Order: sequence, then structure tokens, then C-alpha cells
Amino acid sequence: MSESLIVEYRLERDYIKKNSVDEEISGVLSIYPNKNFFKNKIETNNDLVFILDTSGSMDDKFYNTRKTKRDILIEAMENVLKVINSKDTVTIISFNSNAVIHANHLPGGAVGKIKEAIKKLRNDNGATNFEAAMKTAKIAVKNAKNINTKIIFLTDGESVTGSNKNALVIADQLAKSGITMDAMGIGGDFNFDYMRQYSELSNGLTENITDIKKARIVFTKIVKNVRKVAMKRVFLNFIFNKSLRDLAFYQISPEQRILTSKISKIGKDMGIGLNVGDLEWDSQKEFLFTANLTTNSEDSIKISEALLNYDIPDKNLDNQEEELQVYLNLSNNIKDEVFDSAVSNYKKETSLLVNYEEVKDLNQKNKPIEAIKKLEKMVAVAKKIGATDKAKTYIVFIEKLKKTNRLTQEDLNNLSYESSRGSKISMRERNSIVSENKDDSLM
Amino acid sequence: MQVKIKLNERNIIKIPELYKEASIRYLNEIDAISIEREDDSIIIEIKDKDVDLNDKVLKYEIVDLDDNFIDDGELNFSILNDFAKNYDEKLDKEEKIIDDSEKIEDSDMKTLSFPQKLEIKKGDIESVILKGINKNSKIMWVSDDIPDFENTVKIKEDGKLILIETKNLSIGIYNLEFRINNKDVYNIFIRVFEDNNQKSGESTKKTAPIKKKLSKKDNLDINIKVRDNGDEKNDLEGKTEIKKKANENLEKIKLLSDDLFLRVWNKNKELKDLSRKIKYTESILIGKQSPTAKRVDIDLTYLLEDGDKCSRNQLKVFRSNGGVVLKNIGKHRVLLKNRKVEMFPGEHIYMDIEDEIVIGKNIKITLTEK
Repeated sequence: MSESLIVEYRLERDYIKKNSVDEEISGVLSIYPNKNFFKNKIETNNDLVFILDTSGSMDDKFYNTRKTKRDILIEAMENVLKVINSKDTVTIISFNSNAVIHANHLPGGAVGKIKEAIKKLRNDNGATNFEAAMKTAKIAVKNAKNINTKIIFLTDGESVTGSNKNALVIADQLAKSGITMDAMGIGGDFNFDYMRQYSELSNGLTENITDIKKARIVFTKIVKNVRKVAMKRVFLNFIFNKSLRDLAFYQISPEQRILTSKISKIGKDMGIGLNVGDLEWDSQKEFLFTANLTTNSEDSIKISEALLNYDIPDKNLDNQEEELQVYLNLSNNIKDEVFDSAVSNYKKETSLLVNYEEVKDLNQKNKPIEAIKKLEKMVAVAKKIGATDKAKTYIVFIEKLKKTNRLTQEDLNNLSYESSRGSKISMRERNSIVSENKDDSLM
Repeated sequence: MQVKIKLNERNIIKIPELYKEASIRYLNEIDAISIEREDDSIIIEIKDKDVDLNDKVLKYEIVDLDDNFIDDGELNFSILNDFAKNYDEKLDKEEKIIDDSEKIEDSDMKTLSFPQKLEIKKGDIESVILKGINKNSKIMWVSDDIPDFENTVKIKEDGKLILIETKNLSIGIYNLEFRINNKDVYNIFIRVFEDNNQKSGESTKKTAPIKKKLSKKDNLDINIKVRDNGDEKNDLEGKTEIKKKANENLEKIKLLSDDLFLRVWNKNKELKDLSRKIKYTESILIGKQSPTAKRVDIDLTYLLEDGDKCSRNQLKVFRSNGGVVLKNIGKHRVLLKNRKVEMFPGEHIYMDIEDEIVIGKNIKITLTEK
């Protein structure tokens, strides 16, 4: 039997100098199901749990359309009915000041009952309470009917009652039990970065619903995707060699995240323990690491070790393990060093997210000139790596800052969304190892 | 760099080829002028003609697309109504056209590739033979402090040979730029030093602030030989004695205890809030913070005085092989005072307890066990 999970790494530099005190290294770790193992396409049945904001502000207009955000939400839910199958279940939790379950694991075939539950969303009203929403979800998921549970969490604002800290604690408990959560906001009043904290716990996706077309299909896209889940409860332990310092770790696809702050002691070593969440049979998750080290006279050095633990529900296989050791070659002759430009580009792309955080900070400190300079630099980087959508977005907000000296929460949401999008082409799809002179790569 | 600008015109400053792909970031603003970049030029216009711009200073940094520091400097303004004419004359003098009419061969001379660094003892004359130069080639100083071209560079043999005379150069680092077809740019970084003992040996490949890939097609050979000018008196003789070079072999690691600290002093007063413990997992970056810069762990911005030189990321201190490494990652030299070691950009050294790093006139950083 072929292996079920493929774990690969690519280093930016093929070898580095021996006996050097300060060398920078970086690499990309790719994790994806082996298609040869999953010969038949997977079609899982799922428990779909919708946690939907029905506070009073949902009756505000959705941008310049004639529809309210509530209209848009109900349309999106009605579209879900077109894609679920009879063995899926639908749970609808409406939350405002409190939370209420309008549908509790209704079978996908019970279309009439699900439609009735959706109608109830029309009448709910109140403030926004994430804690109540998460507590209710925790109760609801206990009635699981299928192996896979997916939570879809939507809001149009920030939580004003209840404890946000408690809400995140409960979301973390749900994530650790193997439930994944996608988080999203509709309109311009929510905080995209805050919603990313919810999706990050289970390595779900975060969406920023800014146009009506996207709003209509956002749920159906998730439902179609979750059907392809091949691996669940994928946990990664990435251990760094003791000799490494200045460690940094990022997720680069499908969504970019800065994970450096999660590096901590794992046993005696430094490393990162990460809930990678689900893996669809046609998807991959990729991570970038960077570090500095002092080299010795050996010919190679083990720089890290990746340990993966996961379940394959379709084959009833639990606690599967995969291990990968990452080695770096050392040489006295680095004249013909080869650089992997794909890894270099990923490094540049993650710098956009790092810079976005700085733009946010400068905006907060009322420093528009510095924020513009930072954005200009981001434009240059985005153009250099061919991320034209990102470059266009940054230019829009440079102009906005020049006119108004200030970015709104909605602007920051758009900037964060664009900066955190993963590359359209994954590492393993790239075939662009370009032999480069080391000096050239520094230009 | 002194910039003479004309009141009623668009003043155009050409950006050196070396920095065309880089970004220029201004660290302060002068309200009376507008400054914009257009392709490879900087356009300066005076908005408020009533403001006295003489001696105004605009500080800048040059960074690459990854925000890596390349260079920094200052533009000092002065107003000159007939500047344009003088400027052209100055260019004529400094950017000598080197003719490519004949080849020069010298089998005794060593062929070197770029980026290149020369170390010349103060008072010596260094001869540089150029191959691949044509009539559209130019040579000029592009350092922050631009020396007088006529008194420092002599062009001989139709441009094939240049002599660099150091008697009129102060101790320091200079950048001599060669342009071929106004497109390909090559630089020689020249360090003028006081005596033979302070040559930094194997430092050639770390002096260039930006690196250029050379293909066989555009490779330029330069042959260099040093001619000792024994009659020239070293006019800095007797000043601070810097004896040792900074780079050491790994074998000279000094094993130190786990709990080590960097302590910062200004005018002999300790600044405890700037002290840092040196961890095994993280380097400490020392420099000056700028609004759009990457992190600096020990920020010296408010301690620096006029004339003090310190890059945004000047020094990096980290644990390595049981010791502590001090690496100069900035543009300026740094003194390890107690050991009389002068560290040039790119150089590193294994530190010892009570080592004393000196930056500027009054800043001192010490390595201690408490």
C-alpha cells in the first residue's frame, strides 16, 4: 500500500558554507494526501453547523445594493439546500444577544424543515454575543451524526456582550476535538483579523464577503469542499535543531498566517505544535520556516524534524504517523550555489503580511506618511513576485490614505484579506527551480 | 552629499545605477521643498522660496525590496542660481571619458572580479588597469564624502590606467564607480588605512552594499598593483592605534556562561531599560529605529549625537558554539575599544566578558555576566 500522506520540503539554498557563523536558511514544507492512496474520489457526509449573526445591524444595507445583509445571508442559506445530500445534516444557530438553535442536525433531505429554520432568521434581533454563540455550538455538536463536522461562523460586527476570551476558549476546545471552523464577516463593520483567530484554531479559512456574487456562493463552496475531506485531525510537530536561532514559521497556503509566536519549547527543543485541521484529497497545506545558524565542518546538518499525526475516516484509520527529517548540505565551495526562487518568492509574499501588520499599527498611531511608504514597498514586492491583485489593492489604499490620512476598519479588512491570501500556485505545482547566483538573489 | 539647487527650476539628481532598483526613504521632511522620484532621477523643487534652505539636511536610507538596508546618507542643500552651469562643468571634470582605443596587457598583475575592495595605506598610490573600458565609460567617486577627483584620481594611457592617490584622502571607505555604456556599473570600494597592521585581510566579498551578478559578456577585468610611495608621510601617524583585525577563526571561540547580558551606557551612565539578556534562540539587533524599519532590539536613535554614525541595523549579537558573536551588519565601522579592534561592515568576532563596544562619541555597550 502506498503511503497516504506526502510530506515534502524544499530549501531555498541547496547548500551553505561550512564553518560560517551566521547563515540564513529557509524552506517550505508541503503536506498533501497521496492521490495514489485515495484512488476513488472521497465523498464524505458531513454535519454542517451554521453559526449566524442575526443582530439588528444585519438589517443594514449590504453596501450599495437594495438588499440588507440579512437578505444576503438568507439567500446564501437557501443556496446551501441545492448542494447538500440526504446524509448530511444541517444545524442552524442564530445568535444576537443570546443564541438559539433553529435546526439541530436536520437531515439534508428534510428540506421543508430546514427552510422553516432559515425563515426564522428573518425575525431574530439583538446585540452581538460570540460567547453565547460558541457555548450553544458546543452543546449542538454533541449530537453529531457524521464523522465530520464543519462549523461556518458568520458575523457582521464585533462582539459587544459576553466574553470574547471565553468564546475563543470554546472555539479552541471544538478545534481540538477535530471540528474545523471557517469564519467570515459580511459588510464593513466586523474585524477580519479577529475572525482569523477563530479560523486559525482549526486551520480553517477566513472570508471577507464584500460583493453580492461572493455572498451567494460562499456557503455552497464550503459545503462542496468539506465533502472532499480525506484526512482529519492532522497535527504537525515541527522541531528545530538546537543550533538554529531567530526562528520564524508561517503558513503560506491555503491562507497565510504568521505563526512565529507559537514557537515554544517542545520537550527539550524549540518547535511548533500546530493543528493543521482537515486535508481535502485534492488540497495541500504549506508552511515556510526561516532561521539562522552557525555551521561546522560536517558535510550536512539536520535542521529540523516534522512529525505528523492524522486520521483517515474513509478507511477507518486513526492515529496514522508520518515523519520527515530536513537536512541541509554544507560545502566549502559555494560559488555555484543554487537558489530555489519559489521559496524566495514565498518569503517575499509572507513579508506582505508582516508589513500589513505594520501598516495597521502605523494607521492606529496616526502616521499616514509612514503607512503610505510601507504600502509603496508592499506594492513593489507584490509586483516583483507577480501578485498583481495584491499590488492593485495596496495602490487603492495608498490613494485612500493620501486623501483621508486614515484607513477605516473596512479598509483594514480588505488589506488583511488580500495580504493573507495564499499563493494561487502551490509549491508542488511550481516547477521553477531557477539556478541563480547568490548575489543575484540579493538584488 | 552637498546638493546645490536652483530656486526656480526642477532640479534633477540622477540616482546611481547601483540604486536604481532600490527604494529611497526619507527620514525627515523639509516643508519648503517637494521631492519626488521619477524613474532614475530625483526631482527637487522649491515650494517656499522665502525659507532659507542653506544647510538644511534631508536624511535618507536606501533599502532593497525586502527592506534590507543598503545605504544611508544626508542631502545638504544650498541655493545656487547659476548651479546648472557649474554642475555641468563639475560633471565634465569628474566623469572622465575613458577611451578604448588600445589594449593593455600586464601579465604580472592579478585579475580580480567584482565586487571588489581595495585597501590602500594612507600615502600610497595604487594603480588600476582597466580592460573592457570603452569611450562611453565614466569613472567617478560616489561615496557620501566625495573627494576632489583631480587630486585623487589620475587617468593615464587613454583611460586604461588610473592611479589612485591617497595622500589627499582621509582615513575611511570610498566608492569609486565605473560606468560602461552608461548602463553597466561596477564599483571598487577603497579603504584608506593608517598602517599595514590594520588591513582586514579576507574582507573583499562583504564590502559591497549591493551585489551585481556578472555574466561573461559584461565582465570587466581590472588589474591592480600597489606602488608603495615611501616618501609620503602618514599624516595620521600617532593617532588611535588599531592593531588587530576583526575576523577570527572558529577555533578562537571563547566559551562563556549561559547568563550573559548586553548593558548600554551613555556618557558613562547606564541605561538599564536598554539592557538585554542574550538568549540562545534569538539574536539581538542594535541600531537605530526608523518608522518603517524592521525591529531593533537595542534602539540607539535618541542617544546618537551629530556626527555619530550608526545604521538602522548596525550590530547583531548572538550565541554560537557556546560563545557570543558580535557581527557588524551595518554600514559603518564599530570599535571594540578594550581590544583595540576596529570592525568593518560584514566582520564578526567572538566576544569576551567585559568587551566594550563603542558607537559614536558617547555610547558604550558592554558584555557582562550580570
